[in-house]
Amino acid sequence: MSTKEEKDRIELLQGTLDLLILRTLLLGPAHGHAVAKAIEFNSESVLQVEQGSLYPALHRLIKRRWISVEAGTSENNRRAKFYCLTAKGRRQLLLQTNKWDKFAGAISRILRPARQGGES
Amino acid sequence: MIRRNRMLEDLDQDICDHIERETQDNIARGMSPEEARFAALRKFGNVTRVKEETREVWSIVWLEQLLQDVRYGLRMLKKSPVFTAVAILTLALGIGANTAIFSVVNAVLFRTLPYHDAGRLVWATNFVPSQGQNLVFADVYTGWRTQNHMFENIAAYSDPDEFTLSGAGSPERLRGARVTASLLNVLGVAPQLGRNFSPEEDRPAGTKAVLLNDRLWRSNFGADPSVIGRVVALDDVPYTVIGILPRGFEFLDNSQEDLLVPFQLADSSFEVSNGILKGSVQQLNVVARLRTSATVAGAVNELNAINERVLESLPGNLKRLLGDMTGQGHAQVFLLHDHEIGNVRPALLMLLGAVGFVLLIACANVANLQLARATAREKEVAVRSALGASRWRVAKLLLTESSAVAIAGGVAGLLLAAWAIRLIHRFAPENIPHLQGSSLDLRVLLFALGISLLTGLLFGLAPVLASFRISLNNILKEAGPYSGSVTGTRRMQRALTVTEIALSLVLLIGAGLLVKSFRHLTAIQPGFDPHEVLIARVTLPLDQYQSLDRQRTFFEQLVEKLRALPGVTSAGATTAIPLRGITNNTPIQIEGQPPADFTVPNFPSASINSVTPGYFAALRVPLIEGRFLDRRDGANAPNSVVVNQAFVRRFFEKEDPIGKRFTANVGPRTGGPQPWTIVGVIGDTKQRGLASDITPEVTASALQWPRIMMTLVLRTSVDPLSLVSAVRQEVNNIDKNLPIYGAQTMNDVLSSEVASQRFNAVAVVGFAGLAVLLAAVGIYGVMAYAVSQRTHELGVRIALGAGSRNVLSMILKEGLRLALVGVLLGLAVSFALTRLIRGLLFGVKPTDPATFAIVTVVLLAVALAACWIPAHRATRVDPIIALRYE
Repeated sequence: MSTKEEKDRIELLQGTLDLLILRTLLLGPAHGHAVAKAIEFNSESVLQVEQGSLYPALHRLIKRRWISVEAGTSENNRRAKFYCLTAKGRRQLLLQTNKWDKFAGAISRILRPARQGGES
Repeated sequence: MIRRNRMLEDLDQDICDHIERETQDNIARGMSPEEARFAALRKFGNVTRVKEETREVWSIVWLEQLLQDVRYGLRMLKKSPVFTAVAILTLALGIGANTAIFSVVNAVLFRTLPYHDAGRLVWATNFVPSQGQNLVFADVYTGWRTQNHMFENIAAYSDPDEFTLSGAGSPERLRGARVTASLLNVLGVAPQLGRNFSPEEDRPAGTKAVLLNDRLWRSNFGADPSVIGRVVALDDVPYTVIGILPRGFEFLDNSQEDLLVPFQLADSSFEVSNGILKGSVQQLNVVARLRTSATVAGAVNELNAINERVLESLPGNLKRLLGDMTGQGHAQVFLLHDHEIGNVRPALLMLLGAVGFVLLIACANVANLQLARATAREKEVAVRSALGASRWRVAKLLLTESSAVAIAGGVAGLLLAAWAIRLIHRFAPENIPHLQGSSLDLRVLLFALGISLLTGLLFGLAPVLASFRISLNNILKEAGPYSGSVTGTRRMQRALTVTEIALSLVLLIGAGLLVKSFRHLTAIQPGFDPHEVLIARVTLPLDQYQSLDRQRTFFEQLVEKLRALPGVTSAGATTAIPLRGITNNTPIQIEGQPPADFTVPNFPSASINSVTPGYFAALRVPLIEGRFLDRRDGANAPNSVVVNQAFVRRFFEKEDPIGKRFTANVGPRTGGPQPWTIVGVIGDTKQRGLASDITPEVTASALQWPRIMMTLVLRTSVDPLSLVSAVRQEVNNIDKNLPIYGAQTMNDVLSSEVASQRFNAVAVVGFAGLAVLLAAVGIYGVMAYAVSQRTHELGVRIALGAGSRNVLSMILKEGLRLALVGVLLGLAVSFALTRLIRGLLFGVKPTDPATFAIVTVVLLAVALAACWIPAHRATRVDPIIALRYE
């Protein structure tokens, strides 16, 4: 299961899980387990998500009408719930991604010089 | 709501599917089915918590949880009735005391004055340091009135005066004040009927007009509107009623006035002849309305500047004398609200602080109880956490339970407060204005609710913090009563107990200081014997008693008649009764001493009063030297006086005063200095108040210098107040139109002098007693708990041969250590806090070593006593049972 060492894993920042779900659903509707798998796979298992915590997040997004739910059948022909991105969700994703880029940029600008200083 | 239900319905199925998929994936990766399922579950996390958190996303879950928690909490409380009862009682005492005191603070300090836009009203004065008092005389007021830019309007009023009203029912003595026509405008009050004074009525020698208050209008005039324009007699001078003050009108300085008359103030109060002031300088009280743009500080600066200009305009020989009373830096301006309640605020804030401490101690006690119970409930909490309850969820549960206890305590506290308020109304001193208005009004109820919830949160925090430390593994694994959090709990209990002891020490020291002050004050000798003395006042109407002979005859006759009454052992009359006495500052010139300079502030002066023969005997004022005044000092004899010891100390330090003479500008003859001969020296009596200094006093004979306003003094062999109607009868036998008023015993006068100190001392002693009781219960509880937790260890010790003495001293030492830490902390806090009540103390320093020492010893003794029972119980631990106790 764990392809990465414990120390390489990072706990998710509050609210970033929502962003990751939206990003995953941008590729198309998916059921819960698939969303969890996609996040795990795409981050090369760096991001540690207790799969259970996906559900409160999904419901939070449904409540805000950023995603919607459709009934469908999964690969192996079982009844399943598919979550899709709504137009509102798409707008939010764009907005949140920009915000996140700015934030991440700022953090790395702060951290990088410090590390260089420490090594020299 | 519908969306929510639909979403949640499928949640269980969704989670099942999810775990099933993960399991399948794991199997595909080569795990065994069991392994795969276990890994999937672990990866998913706590299913119950996920469900709960998801549900929370959707809802008003908090409300559902709250109801659930309340139901659960109540069930738990019902299961431990002793804890619940003790906790509720403790909180009720704390909350009740706080609510009662707050209701007083609310009624007195937070009250808005019943005037228009009262926030802009200020009270202004000149404080004269050398005299230790306020002095604003007419010239200064005129300057302030005509030259200021800070006030919209300004007014002056006199100290309360008295008038005899006749021509409306039986003659009655009424209270009244002289006010400028601007007063009602400054306050923003309009008469309910009629009109305010006109500027013409307010000029010197203007027409006489009077405003009646609502009570007088209803009681003496039957609320008849046609009273406007009617002429009534005040001290036998005709006044026209021009208006009725509104119902509920309050005069300034918390004083109740039946009527107002125009001040008719002259612009200047001086007539100068030979450098000596003629007449007296009248003290004015000034109230003004600030302009919206003005500030108090700005007003002070401006009034000081005006003071300087007023001083410059005075005649040269007055400048030296009055510079001291008018100069720069004397002006003081207070918001009217602060002025009205300024002298009671420190005491009320102290009481509020004291009850606050009591509440904190009550909280600490209940927290301690909760902690002891929390240990017993650790398992329940651990099981809840294991089943998926988050820390926050458990905390909410515990806090709900605490709040239920706190609210029950609050309700019981309100009942206590209602009772305490009645008690306060009965016993509080009269000098706290509007105290009788205190009640459980909305603001007080909100306060009670607020502190109830706050205390619930405060003492509920202890078990919550304890629950955070609970380690699931330890508790669920161990079967016995020992668990991981016991040490933490005990540490917290000790901290709480130390706090309780520290707080109660602070309260005890405060109480000790106030009691000592009170004892100092009551130990002051007033200079007379106040027991079994009746006093009552009589004022003769001047127009019927213009001649000195008539005045003399009236009081001579009356005193003779009173002395003959059964139950009266001696009788007399005086113009200045001690403690309430009006003192004056009359310039005197001692014969044989160099001419006095009356232009310096401390010119030779004395307070000159008159008494009838028999007065000194009635009050038992001691004779030091010479003789008392008696019948020999009649109308045709030379003017004789007795002086007090302070007079001798100031003017005859090295000489025998008997037979010496001095002159003063006052006396039975009008105009010019008249000579007075000293025939005796009497003991000093406290004229202005118990705590005040004694100034030189001269007492003349009322047979030589009769006065129209006298206080009758009767020493009785029966209950003094039983003679009031007999005295009234004797007065009316001589003059049927004359009222007596202000009848009371001298003991009552004396005790009202110390009433506020007594109230403060009693209240704080009560709170301190409550605090110590709670702290004792607290330390007892902690030690008892510690002993019960250590039963096993004690059993081992006893089995190994520890004697009961060793065990006893071990436990007592432990308790004493707690007490000592608390006491040290309390001493430090007391050193910092007692200086805040410096103004409430009398004759004792805020850091009085004796009080600190005695209180410390008392508290340590109480703590030791509280530890004794658990320590004693520890010695009786049966090692066999203790070792089996697991």
